[in-house]
This record gives sequence, C-alpha cells and structure tokens, in this order.
Amino acid sequence: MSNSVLICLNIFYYLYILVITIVFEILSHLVIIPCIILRIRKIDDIYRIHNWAYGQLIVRASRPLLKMKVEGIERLPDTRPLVVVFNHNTYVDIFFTALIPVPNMLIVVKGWPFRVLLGINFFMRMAGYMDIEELGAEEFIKRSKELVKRKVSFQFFPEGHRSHDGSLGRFKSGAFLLAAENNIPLVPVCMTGIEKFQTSTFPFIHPSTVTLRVLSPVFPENFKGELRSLEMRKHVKNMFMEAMNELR
Amino acid sequence: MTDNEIRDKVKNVLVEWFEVGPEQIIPGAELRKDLDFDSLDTVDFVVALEKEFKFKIIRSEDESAIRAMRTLSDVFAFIKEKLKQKADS
Repeated sequence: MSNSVLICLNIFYYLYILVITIVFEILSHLVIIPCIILRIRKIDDIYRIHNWAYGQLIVRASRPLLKMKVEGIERLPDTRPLVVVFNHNTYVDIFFTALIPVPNMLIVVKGWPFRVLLGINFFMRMAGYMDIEELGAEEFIKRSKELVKRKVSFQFFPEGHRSHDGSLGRFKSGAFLLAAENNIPLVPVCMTGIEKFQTSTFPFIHPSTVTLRVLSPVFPENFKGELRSLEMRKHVKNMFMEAMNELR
Repeated sequence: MTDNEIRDKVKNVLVEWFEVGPEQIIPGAELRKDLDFDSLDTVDFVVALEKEFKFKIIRSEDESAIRAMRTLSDVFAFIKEKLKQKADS
C-alpha cells in the first residue's frame, strides 16, 4: 500500500471513529443518565460497562481494516470476579481487551494514562480504574477486597508498559498478588497482530489480522506456600511465551 | 552471614523471581527507577526475602524501614539488621 493511500486511509479512519464516538456517547448517555438518577447500578459499574461497550464498538467498527480471531472464550470461568491479564504492545490494546466478554472489568494501570489521555481519563476516573502509583500497595489491596465483594473483575497488563519490540517484558506483581490474596481465578489472554495494526510509537493504522487467545485459567489454590503469587506469575509468563511462539 | 553472602542471596531472589539481569544488581540500583519496581513488587520482594533469609517481618516494627528502602544498599542494610535481630533473640 502506497504512503498516500495509507495517509488517506488513516484520515478517513480517524474521522469515522470520531463520528462513531460522538454518536455512541450521545446514545449511551441517554441510558446512563437515567440509570444514575434512578440508582439502578453504582456509577463506577455503569461506566465500566460503558467503556467495555465502547471498546467493543470501536474494534468491531474497524472490521474493514481488521480481521479478528478470538479463540478460547469457552475457557473463561463462569464465576466472577476474575483477574484477566493481557500482554501489551500498543496504545490501542485496551480497546481489544473489550473483546473478552467480561463487561464489569476494572483496569489497573500505572500512572501515565490518567495524566496523558485527556478526555479519556474522565471515563477512566468515572469507571474507578486504579492507578497503582497513586494508591500504593496497602490502599490497593484494601480497595480491591471491597471490589471483589461486589464481583468486579480486574484487568491488568502485567508488563506495566508497552513492549517496543514485541518481546514479553518483566511481569509485575499486582495481578498475581490480587488473585492470590482474594483466591480468584486468573485468566491470561494473549494478543498478537495489534502491533501490526498500530505500531507502538505512532498512531498510524495498517490493515491487519489480530488474534486474541484466551489461555487456560490459573487457580491460586493450585499454588502453595508464601511465594505462591510469585510462582503464579512465573507460570503465567511461561504460558504467554508458549502461546506467543505458537501464534507468531 | 557476610555482606557478600547477603548480596548473593538477594541477587538470587531478584534473578529467580523478578527477572532482573545480574548486571543491574549493584548497590546503588534504585528499586523504582532502575529495577522498575512498583509498591506491589516491593510487597512480593519482601516476602521472597523473608523466605530466603528465614526472618519474619513484623509489620509494626519494619513497615517504616521497608517504605524507606530506595536502593539495593538500603535492602542489604535492612536484611543485615533483621539478621542481627534474629541472632540476638
């Protein structure tokens, strides 16, 4: 594809996304506002579902440019809550995570999205997404216990930041500590192809095929001893590496 | 336990459980800036150190020392102090 075609494609694509976004926000808030007034659900639950629905919409609306394969959905446990972990390559990964059918999922991030993503950070705050850097360990553990009681699921990118070369970075502890402390299943989801759709350094999109593979859930009760969250982390990292080797 | 033994054990923990490269493990390395630890990584790190060195963290006594740990030198000093307390008790 020539550069001029790619540039035209990107201009059209982002205008198209902008129109869809405006229409979605108007229509969704016609539902959200009465739900808030009538107290049908808590505000953060509503906005998590809103954000998930938006992610689904954007990804599916990108279909002319994107072929998508979602494998292994049947592996998702029926119980809630869950901790769902994804590998991380690009800015747009977060939209693809909405392909996993867990609408009430709270995203745990590390600082920068709240500071940098103007406009989007409003929806993040309303959805109660957590900033590990801001909260600190004790407050995070305390808040997560309260949310687990409400059956809210959690989403992490355990690498903490985007991979610039497609390789899997070091996994941070948060997801595994949370799953172990609360004894809830952890579901790894391997995503490939997004780094061809949008590179990690520039929001220029290219037609491509994206695959999400839900891997076998990991249950904390299968790990014993004081180091069980660390062992879970190692085990899940190995699962990701195996899946990425198969998918690439 | 000698200082070198403490360093070697900490190195083992960091390499085995935190995927830190051996070349990154220098006394001046900062946990957050150089090893990219967040507060939850520190929780796991302390648990791993407890197991490796067979001492027990007492929350009321050790919390401020753990919060104050910035570099690996601080970690080595903390471990040395815990081992001394264990030997004295």
